[in-house]
Amino acid sequence: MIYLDNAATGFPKSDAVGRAMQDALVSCGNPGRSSHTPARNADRVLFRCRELLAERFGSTPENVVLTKNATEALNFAIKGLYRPGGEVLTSTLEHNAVMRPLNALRAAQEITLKQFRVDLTDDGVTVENFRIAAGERTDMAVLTHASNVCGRILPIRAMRDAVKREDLLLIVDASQTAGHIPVDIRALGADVLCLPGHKGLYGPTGTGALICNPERVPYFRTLIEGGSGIESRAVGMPDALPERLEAGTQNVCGFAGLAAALAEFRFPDREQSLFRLLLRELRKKNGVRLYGAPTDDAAAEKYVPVLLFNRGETDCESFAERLASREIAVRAGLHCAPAAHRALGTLETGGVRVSLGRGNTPADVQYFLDALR
Amino acid sequence: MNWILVLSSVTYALKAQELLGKRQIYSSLTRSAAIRKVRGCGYGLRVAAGDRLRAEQLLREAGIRVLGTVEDR
Repeated sequence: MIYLDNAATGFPKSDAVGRAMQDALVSCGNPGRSSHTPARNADRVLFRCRELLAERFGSTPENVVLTKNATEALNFAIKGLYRPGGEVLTSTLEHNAVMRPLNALRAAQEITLKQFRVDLTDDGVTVENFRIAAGERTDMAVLTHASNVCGRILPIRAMRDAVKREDLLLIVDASQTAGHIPVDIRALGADVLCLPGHKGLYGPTGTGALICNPERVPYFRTLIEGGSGIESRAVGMPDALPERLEAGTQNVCGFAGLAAALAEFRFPDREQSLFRLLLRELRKKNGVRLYGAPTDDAAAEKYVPVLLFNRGETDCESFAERLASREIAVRAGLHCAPAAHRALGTLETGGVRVSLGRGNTPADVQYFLDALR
Repeated sequence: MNWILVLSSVTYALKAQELLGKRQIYSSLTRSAAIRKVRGCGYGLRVAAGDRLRAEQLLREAGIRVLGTVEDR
C-alpha cells in the first residue's frame, strides 16, 4: 500500500504506539477519581501526555485539554469563548470543523460572521486582507494554520501583529501543521491552539488537544458537564483547566498511545523534498490540473505537503477509486472543506488530494506518478 | 507528622509533585478526607512536616496555587 492520505490521518502508526495502548488497557483505571494503583497509573498517563504536548507546542501541562479530535477542540474553543452579539472573522480556506460551529452560532443569531480572502501567492496580501477585515467589532478570529485542501500555510504571526489588538481572541486550527512544521502557541501569538493527535503527530485516532497560551488563558463556557473527579459538591464544572472542559472518563488508552508517539516524535526529514519532487513531476503531466499549489520550488516552503489536482475530465472519486485498486491511498471529494474548494474554484468538481507523511519514500512518489500514466 | 497541601486538580498535583521531586522534596498524591472537607473531592500532596513551608514556597514561586493546608492525622 502506498499511503498518500496523511492529511486525513498519519499512517502507519508505530509499534510503540500500539504497545503503549495495550499496556494502558491492562494497567490503567479511571483517571482523576481514586487513589488505587490503576487510577494512579491512568493519572500519570494523562499527565505525561499533557507534558509532552505542552513541551511541543509552547504551553504548560495544566493548559492542555485532551479532546477526542481537533473538531471537538475547535467546538470547545469557538462555542466556549465567543461573545454573544460579537463578530467573528475567519478565512476562505476553513474546514467544516471551523465553519459549522461558526455557522451554527450565526444561525442562532449569536454572532455575525465575516470572511477574508487568503491570497495563495502573496502573504502580504493575506495579511492586509485580514487587517482590513478585522474591524473594531471583531472580537474573535478563527484561522486554519494550513489548508487541508491545498496545503497553504497562513502567516498567522504577521496577521496577529498587523491587527495590533491585544483583545482580539485568536483561535488557530493546527490540524495540518502539528507534526509537519514547528508550532509554538506563543510565537504565533495565538490564544488557543486546536489540533488532532492522530495526523502529523501519529498518535491514535480519537485523540486531540485544545492548548491555551499560558500567558493569557481565557475562561471557557462549558459545552458538556459531568464528573470531573474534583470539587464534586459544586453544581457546575470546576473553573480550572484542564478539568473544566474534560467531563467524564478520558480516553486513557488513546492518550497513552499519543504520549508514546510524542515521546518518539521527530520532524520528518524528507517530506519537503518529496513534496517538491511530486510538484515538479505533476506539472509535467499532461491533463493534470493543480489547484492552489506552489508556483515554484521556493514557494513550496509556505506549504505543508498537500496537493490538490484533477486528471482531465475524470471525476475525482472515480479517479481515487482507480488509484485505490492499485493500492494507492488518496482522498477525493470536498475534504469536508467546501469553503476552501469554493476559494479554489473546485466546489462543483471536487478534487484528488495527495498528502505526504513521514513514512513516504521517493519510490512511493514514483509509483504514484507511474500510476497516472 | 505529615501535612497535606490541597491543590485544584490531579493535573496540578502531578505538576507540583514533579516540581518538588526535582528539589528533593518527597511527596505523595492523596485524596484524603481532609481534602474532601475543603473541596468536596480533590487532590493533595502529602509532605513531611519539615518540608511543608519550603514546599509551599516553591509551589507559590512556580505559580501553583495551594488552596489550603491540612494536618494529616
